[in-house]
Amino acid sequence: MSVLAPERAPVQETPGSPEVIGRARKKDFAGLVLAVPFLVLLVSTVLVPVLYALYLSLFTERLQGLGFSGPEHVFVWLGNYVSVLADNAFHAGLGNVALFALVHIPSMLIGSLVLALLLDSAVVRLRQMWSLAVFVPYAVPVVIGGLIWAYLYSPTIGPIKNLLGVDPLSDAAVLPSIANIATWQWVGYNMIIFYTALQAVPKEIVEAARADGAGGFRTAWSIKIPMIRPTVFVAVVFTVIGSLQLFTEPMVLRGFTGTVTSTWTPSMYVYEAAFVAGDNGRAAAASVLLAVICALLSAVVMRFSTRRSR
Amino acid sequence: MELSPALQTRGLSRRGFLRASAALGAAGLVGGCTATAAPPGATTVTIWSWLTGMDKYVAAFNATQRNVFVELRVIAAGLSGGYAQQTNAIRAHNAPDVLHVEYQGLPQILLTGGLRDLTADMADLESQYSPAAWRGVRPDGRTWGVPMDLAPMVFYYRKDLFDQHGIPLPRTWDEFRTAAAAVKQVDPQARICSFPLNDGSFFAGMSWQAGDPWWTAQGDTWAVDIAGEGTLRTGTFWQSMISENLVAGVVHGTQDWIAGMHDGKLWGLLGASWSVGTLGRSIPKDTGRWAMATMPTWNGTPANGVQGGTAFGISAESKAPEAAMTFLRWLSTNPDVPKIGSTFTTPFPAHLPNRAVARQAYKGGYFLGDPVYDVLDEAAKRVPDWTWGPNALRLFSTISDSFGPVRGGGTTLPEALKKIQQHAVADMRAKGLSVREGKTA
Amino acid sequence: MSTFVADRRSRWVSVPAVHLILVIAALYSLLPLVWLVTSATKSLGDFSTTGAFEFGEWNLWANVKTLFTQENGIFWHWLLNSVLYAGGGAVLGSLICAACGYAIAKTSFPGRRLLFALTLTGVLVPTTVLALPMYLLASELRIVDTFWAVFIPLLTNPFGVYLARVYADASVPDEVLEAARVDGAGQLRTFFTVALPMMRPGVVTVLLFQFIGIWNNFFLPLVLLTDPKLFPVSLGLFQWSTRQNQFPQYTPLVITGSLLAVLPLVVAFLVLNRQWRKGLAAGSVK
Repeated sequence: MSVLAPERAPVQETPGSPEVIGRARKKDFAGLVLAVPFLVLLVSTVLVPVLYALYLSLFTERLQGLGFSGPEHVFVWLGNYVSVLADNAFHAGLGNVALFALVHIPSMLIGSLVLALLLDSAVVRLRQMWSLAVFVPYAVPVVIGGLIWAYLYSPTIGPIKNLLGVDPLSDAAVLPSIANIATWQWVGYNMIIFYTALQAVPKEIVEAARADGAGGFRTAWSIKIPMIRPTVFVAVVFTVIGSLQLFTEPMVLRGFTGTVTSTWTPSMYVYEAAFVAGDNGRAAAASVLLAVICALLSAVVMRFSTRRSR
Repeated sequence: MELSPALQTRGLSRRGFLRASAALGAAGLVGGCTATAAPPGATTVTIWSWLTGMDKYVAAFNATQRNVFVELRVIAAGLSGGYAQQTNAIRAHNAPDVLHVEYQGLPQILLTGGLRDLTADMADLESQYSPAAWRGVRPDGRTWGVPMDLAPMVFYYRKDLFDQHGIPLPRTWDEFRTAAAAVKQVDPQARICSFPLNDGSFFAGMSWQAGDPWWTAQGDTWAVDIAGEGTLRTGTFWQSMISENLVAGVVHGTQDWIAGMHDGKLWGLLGASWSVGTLGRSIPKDTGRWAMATMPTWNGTPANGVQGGTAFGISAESKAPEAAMTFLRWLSTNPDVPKIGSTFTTPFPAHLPNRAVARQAYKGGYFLGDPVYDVLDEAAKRVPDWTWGPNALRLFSTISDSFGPVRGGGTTLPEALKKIQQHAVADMRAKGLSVREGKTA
Repeated sequence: MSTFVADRRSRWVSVPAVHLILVIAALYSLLPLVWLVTSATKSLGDFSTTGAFEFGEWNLWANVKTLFTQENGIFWHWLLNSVLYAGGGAVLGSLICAACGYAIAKTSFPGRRLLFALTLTGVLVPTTVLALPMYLLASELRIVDTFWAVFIPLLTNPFGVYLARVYADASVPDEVLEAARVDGAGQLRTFFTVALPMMRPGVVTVLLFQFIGIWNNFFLPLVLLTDPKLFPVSLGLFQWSTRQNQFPQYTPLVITGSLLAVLPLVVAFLVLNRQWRKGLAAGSVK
């Protein structure tokens, strides 16, 4: 995902101004013309594929005997969903992304928040330089970031094993290693988002707090962070969705270590089902389930965020 | 790969130049096929393949033929997308005339019902192919593909180090264990070879040798026997090698593996015939240090596994099956093909007369001891019966996923194998296939 | 800001400690890229045998030369494709977003609310869900493995529409639109000549992020493309990286290729630094 989190959470609808609304039908049609290109894209590349995925998820291919006489399409109701939900590999994948999120989200958010607050404090010199340095990894394509770290992780040629004394590609360490790649990539991005939001915090409020004798930590904790909470929550939503879709980093590491299985994340599970096992029904069912989980989680975070920021 | 001289001259010809500029100007982005056009009146045959050097073979074919013109599209290798693309093209009824299949992937492609039965077209060639390759394109007694090459497994070893420390070349697996211990004793950092747990096709090749095929087509039923006696014996042996820390665990071809080979920490390699080229390229400075031998055996009875090999099938919906057959017969049996292949790889054709051509064209110089093609020939002769099942490709990822925890002690190879057997049987039954467990005759 | 305030602020943490944290963060971010630079200068042999951050024998030019001649110079195709997918996609995509965002914010065509709701839902649909059906649809339409199969889906940027709506709301006052209307300008003309220039910083931000998004996108091209001539650079490098196991000579190519693929982006970010900052500010600060 490559989206930026704006200051205001997308909650209420802004109606067009009264003058505009009062216009003739012909003018409204002009607005539609402006919206149509996107509408067409949305329907053809999101709506139709989603409906098609739902359709596919209800069918499977049945063979018989040796199977060489070819398949037959069968409607199986929710059979594909049942088999995905009963599949240990799918559970393991969900477990992996959950753990990944537990490692990645706090470390990335805390890191970027701390850096943003430091940049926002008056003592820092060469602000521009620091923020650019930390931001640069965001400009590195994920595949390439993954490859770089994969080489760095390789036990005999990379320095990390000697540095930490742990093989970063071993069973136990591979998950934090993958989380590290993602954190490396996103910490600067979120830092910039938070920093920008921090700059919008009215100076008077900060000054007032300080005049009341609040120290730096206190100002940061009880004034600044609450003021940018909506931004932080939007960042959390996007990071959660991104974590659930984790695909590229483990896919790249798979070429370097046997500890990453072919179904290591739900997205990889979908890819394996569709493009290795050739089981489109199961792949579609798994992807629909993934979408549902994404939607539920974002709804939970959103609800939490709107309640908290009131 | 470098351009062959033939292709370079072709590229520089005036016609080629004009065509190239036209393509750049018009549709350089949209099409993805070879740039040359068919001569008037020729039948066009489309082929999808990921075989290294296929562009050169196709160019050579087109240069000599007037009636058939081959259009190549290079696709991603097998499990990196090639099989998926071909399967989906068959489903969408827009498959190319010629499809790339490996012996291990053929039955899975057959499940789509998208391949043409070539039994009659190929009948006259039977005697000219290596029996292992011939069986590979006939999983159920009908011929479904044209064999291209075969990759028997061999044992590559550092003859200089083995000789220097008086370790005899192991001819049985028991001797192999002794040799492995000896290597470790000479240099505690060194191992006799690596046993890559994440490579299902490697383990399949090792098990192949043990003589218990994982699948057998019995009438209308698949007999599935992945935890058979031979496979379990193989698993138990390697489990003990891993437990006693006598083998390394690095993945073949990775930087760690190369570094190990470079530094003399890996004294051997159980690998397929294509490793002849890999070795020369990864560690050119080791020229004159390596030798190769057939795989150690279980009890002295000659037997040898295979890891890979290419064949080509013709789409059941092809509108030009005869022309496609003309090309495939040329590709598989024409002596020009191994000659071209020898300029950039070490081909080991399935077609026996062509294998002799490849042997002639081989330059050699890297290996000590027995000539490369003698060892490979002998290895190919020793290959026992084997049939790939319709879930072989998926099984490779299941194997690699289930073997993952072995190194950390989370499971053992025999235990994992029993689970894999259950998984495979369940998977096949879920598809509606008729399955019988174990090796019942 | 007065020095007095700065001094007061500085009390809460020591200046060296703050800078130490920043140095560590910068090293963490930059060292992997330094590694990329040193490694790109090594031959395959030196790569396996020399230290990660030290230089071996200078082999960069040889690597670059092999990179651009490998497989008939396919790397050129990949770079060009990435530029076309990302550049073309970002320009066209951000324009489409701007138009739609403006239409939602400032006009009142029927179905406006529904479209906006759909757009917000679209933000949450994972690519994974779309990939397989898109592949199958493209396969039915016989556009699988073509430029358009990848280009068109990547144009869709629901979040960009949402942002554009925010920008339009914030930066295009109704009075200005009203004035344009009084002057006799039609809606379309008003959008292109009045509103779009006012929304420019925001639209440029959408463009930049869509550019990065497409340049980084991996899943869709992986699924939709198999013809290497159509690959974007990251997919091409990934494919080469999967071959390393059989053909180790690809390793230096993957590394040198990565360096060359990263450089333009890093440079673009440094150069456009001010531009996207302004856009971010426009989006987040009222």
